[in-house]
Amino acid sequence: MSESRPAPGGPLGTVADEILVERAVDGDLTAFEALVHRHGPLMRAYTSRIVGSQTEADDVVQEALTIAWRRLPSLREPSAVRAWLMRIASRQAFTHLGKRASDVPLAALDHALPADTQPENVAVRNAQLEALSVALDNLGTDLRRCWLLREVAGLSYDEIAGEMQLPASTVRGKLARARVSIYAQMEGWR
Amino acid sequence: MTNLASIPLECGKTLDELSDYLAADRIPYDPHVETCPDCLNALTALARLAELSRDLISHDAEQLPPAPENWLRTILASIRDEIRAGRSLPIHHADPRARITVTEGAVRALIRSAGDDIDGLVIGKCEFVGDVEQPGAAVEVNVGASIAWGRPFAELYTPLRELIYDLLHRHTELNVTSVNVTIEDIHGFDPALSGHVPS
Amino acid sequence: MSLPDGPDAASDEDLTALVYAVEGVAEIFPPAPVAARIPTVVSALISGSGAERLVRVEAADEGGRRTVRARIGTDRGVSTPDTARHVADLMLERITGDGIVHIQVARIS
Repeated sequence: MSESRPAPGGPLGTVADEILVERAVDGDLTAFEALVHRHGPLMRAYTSRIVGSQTEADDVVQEALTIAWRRLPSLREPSAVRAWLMRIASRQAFTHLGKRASDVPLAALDHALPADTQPENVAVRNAQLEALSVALDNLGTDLRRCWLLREVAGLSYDEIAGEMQLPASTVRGKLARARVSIYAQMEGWR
Repeated sequence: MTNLASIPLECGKTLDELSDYLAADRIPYDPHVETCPDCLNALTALARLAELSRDLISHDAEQLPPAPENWLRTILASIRDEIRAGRSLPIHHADPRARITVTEGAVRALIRSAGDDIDGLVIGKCEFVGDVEQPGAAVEVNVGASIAWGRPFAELYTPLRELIYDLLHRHTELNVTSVNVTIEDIHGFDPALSGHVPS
Repeated sequence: MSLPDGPDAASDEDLTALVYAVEGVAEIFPPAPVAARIPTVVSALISGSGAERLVRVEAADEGGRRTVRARIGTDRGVSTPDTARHVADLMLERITGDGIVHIQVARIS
């Protein structure tokens, strides 16, 4: 019924997203906390890809979660809460970016990867992820946003179009360009 | 990068075109692309990037150090005062100068916490249908629950309904005409632990 | 602010103690707008630090009538309507003539 991974602590840890959302809508803080445990890390990781700094990302996600609490009663599909949360985080992240000086290039994020003594396939995998990470960092802001909304948050073209105030056909074009750009940079890992 | 994208594959198709085709979910069907080995190889490689992106963010999320200690507390503190009270359920007093109410939120929280106390149950939805603010109005109570895998519903259904009736009788003056309990979900199912599919 | 018939600090604390002594009363909350602004007030009330002269029961003139408001939390094991009525009785005893007593049960624990 649910693909949510278990969260630490308590009987609410294994309960489906829909149940947690319903209780949080009723005002149950512990249910909301369980949602934060479950989806918070992905929101923080995703947001840091957009704003370029984990500390700022953590601030942005705090705001996003506070907004999410208030808007939870308006969520029509409780089971889709993860994508909904990512959307709010994305919006907050771009609002935050807008307040920073534009055209500031994002430094490539410093992600710790496991040591070289890993088995070969894991090392290869990690190198692929690292290459993708660099490729993503090299995408322009718009293309990266499109990419993350589509491939990580799982939004439809229409939903992305709504978020970015663009026609859906433009979104499709941007995604195509982003894909090619990433592909070209990752040539070595095809 | 754009050069690479517009250099044609041996068959003449460019990566740009293939990426567009993929973005359109391969509709309408292109007979050339779908039968050309070079195109299919390229499509597969492009498609794998999407999956890799999801892996990357999941990987990021797993590697992430936990947020600073007060990160969660700040969020909870800022929303705590916005706890939803809901409607006001009237309580009768003989003296007309007294107006007594119980908040809908208080009653919901009570049902939820008492329901959770029943082993194997986690309460989800809890709603009162009817004009709860009108003394004597008929009110239906709809409660949803997630049940622990392996616990038969029949065993839990009656105690839960009785509990809800009791609580509402003791703490409100609602005219409860029915209490409806539905199972919304099952939690705690671990395929590794069981040898069969749950019924 | 104290009720019309108990103008001094001692009456205020007596009243609070009386309300807490009502069987079934678990907590007393400040009136809603205050709660939202000063979270520390609630913990002070619950910890029973009576030395602080905090607003527990709000008495005011609204539309020419004495209006008393109290927000309480009740105990799960005791009838909430009975508890709330007892608290209302306590308030009503202290109002002469016209007036309104609002009791809101905001939590049952």
